[in-house]
Amino acid sequence: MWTWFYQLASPKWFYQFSNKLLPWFRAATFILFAAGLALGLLFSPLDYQQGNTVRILYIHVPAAFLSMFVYVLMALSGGIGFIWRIKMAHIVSVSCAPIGAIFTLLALITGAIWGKPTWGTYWVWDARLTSFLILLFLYLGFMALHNAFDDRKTADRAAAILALVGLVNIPIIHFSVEWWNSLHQGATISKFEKPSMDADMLKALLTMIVAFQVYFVTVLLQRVKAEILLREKLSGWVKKLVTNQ
Amino acid sequence: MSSPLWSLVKREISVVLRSQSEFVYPLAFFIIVTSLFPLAVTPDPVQLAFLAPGIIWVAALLSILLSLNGFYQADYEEGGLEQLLLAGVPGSSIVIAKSAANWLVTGLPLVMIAPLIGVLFNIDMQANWVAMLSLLLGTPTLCLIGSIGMCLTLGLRNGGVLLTLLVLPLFIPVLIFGASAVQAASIGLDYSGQLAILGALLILSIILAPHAGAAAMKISID
Amino acid sequence: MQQKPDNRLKIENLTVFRSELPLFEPVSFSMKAGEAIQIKGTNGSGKTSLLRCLCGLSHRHQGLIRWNDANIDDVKDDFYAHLLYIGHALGLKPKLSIEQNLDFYQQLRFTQDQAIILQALEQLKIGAYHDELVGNLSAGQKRRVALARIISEPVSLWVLDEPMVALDVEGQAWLERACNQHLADGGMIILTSHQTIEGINGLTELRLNETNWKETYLMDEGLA
Repeated sequence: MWTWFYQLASPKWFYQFSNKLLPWFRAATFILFAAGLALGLLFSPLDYQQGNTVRILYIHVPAAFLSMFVYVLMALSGGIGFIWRIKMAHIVSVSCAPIGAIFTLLALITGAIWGKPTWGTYWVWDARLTSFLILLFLYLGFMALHNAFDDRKTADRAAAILALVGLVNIPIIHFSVEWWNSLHQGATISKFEKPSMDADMLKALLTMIVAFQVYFVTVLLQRVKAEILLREKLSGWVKKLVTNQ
Repeated sequence: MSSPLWSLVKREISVVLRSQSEFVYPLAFFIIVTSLFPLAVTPDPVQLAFLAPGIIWVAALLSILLSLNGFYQADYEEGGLEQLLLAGVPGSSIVIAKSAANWLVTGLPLVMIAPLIGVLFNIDMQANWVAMLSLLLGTPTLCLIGSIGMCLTLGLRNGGVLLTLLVLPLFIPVLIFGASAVQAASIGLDYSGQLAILGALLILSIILAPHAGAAAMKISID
Repeated sequence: MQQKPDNRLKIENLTVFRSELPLFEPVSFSMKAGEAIQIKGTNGSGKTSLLRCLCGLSHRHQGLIRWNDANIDDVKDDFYAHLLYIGHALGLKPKLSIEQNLDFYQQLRFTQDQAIILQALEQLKIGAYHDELVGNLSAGQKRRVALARIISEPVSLWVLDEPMVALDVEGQAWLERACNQHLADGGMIILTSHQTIEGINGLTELRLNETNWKETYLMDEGLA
């Protein structure tokens, strides 16, 4: 168990490990997306109020879920890297950021597209959308801070602190925005999830959530690999890898 | 009193009071920014009274943001921060001392001047009191959160712009509850909940921010 | 003077990294009471970085830094009580007077002795300005104020980064006298300087040699 953990912390081992995993994850992403999109677009019923508009939920909900999940992962791995000075943890943390930011942006855009037919306008200061907007700012701050340092180790440690501060703040921000929203708009019709959902819709949604997760892991491994090569460019095994190919 | 923490606060304040820029500019900024709104939006007293809580709070938040730099950047560049660390002063004490000085020099004057802005914006006595109270509880939190962002960006070019991006999202809860307390008071609703939450946020930031700031400071000095 | 003549500083296989590349070939040395070392090297060879690591300000190094046989991070309080570091940034507040600046640093060491501050300023020929704001002084005068701390805060280990810079001949002579007195009292001095210093007794030289890592790395980049 422990040797496995130590191996995981070694960039070289992680690189080779993700090389083995990646084909499987790529294939799974492809299959799950094909299945999820087919279920969502073709084999799930229309919503009795929203019609076809409801189908955007199959993108919006997984993206929204992952945007939060990725932030937590980013902050925790950054924290692990900071406390135990594990290089791999920082690499994972830094690789998470742009992916999470894109998921957040996707959640915002799909939310706005959904809003046009539903609310009659692209943007409403709805609690959910506002929270995601702030989450996007947090991601941008993390990436901007990491970019601002010349030295990569310094950048890793500074960005990890910011991510942890953000992690403490996310529940507070979320709560305050929910509270603010309830104060100003009363009960809104903004809920994407319906209290009781048709079984076919649920099946499609769950498939899409899993598809997004597997896709996330695929992209993450890919980014981590690139980051490892960049950081380990001085070490022998990377040189060998580059010259042999 | 010769404890290092206290002599540090004293030094921070005396340094800042000697350069009027740190002391007067944020206050002047606060007054000027708030007085732009009647010109930009409407001079109508009823609408101004409705907008006042938000305007006062946004302006206060930006004033604090502006003031942060003066407490850290010069000290970092002149080598004062590293000398403090070498004297064995814990980083968290430095953050506490600087935040305290920052608040006494910038936050407290904002609290005092807020009722004047309230009068200009036509909000009643009760709401004015609550504006002061909410700023009293909220601005120290802003100083503390701001200090984390400041410590993270100490050694950076364009640190100021980055600071804004890092810190403003973290200011949002304070802004929401601060402005809402004033708003509730101005329409005669109960505002104690908002003030209680502002107090809770203050306690939380007193506990956590000095440590995060200290860790960030060590990274910036490294 | 509150010297502890049995203090020892030991450096083993120390090298400092910048952007994951070592700046110089590992150095080892040890020093005890009454010894002084001058670190020499070209611009960018890592002299300042080495001093900052020695003081525990920076951790971009590999190798051991031991104060009385313990890692400096483990005995920080004791180490810092004996250490005075004066770097490129002098740590002086321009808005405070000379005396206030020096007084503040004394307070941080839990002492207050105005007489010794004035005496130090007198020796440095800036006693007449003790109420002047540091911001109004010339570069050389600021350097003198910072160096006055070696008198006003009696500690055993001085770490001075380019202390001769901006000093006139008179100031340099004073610094050399002060160093000799300190060594005679059982103190330790580590300093960097471009110039050869002849006035300090028993000053050993330590040269930082650039590693050839950089070249090989650049060559590899060119090939790849």
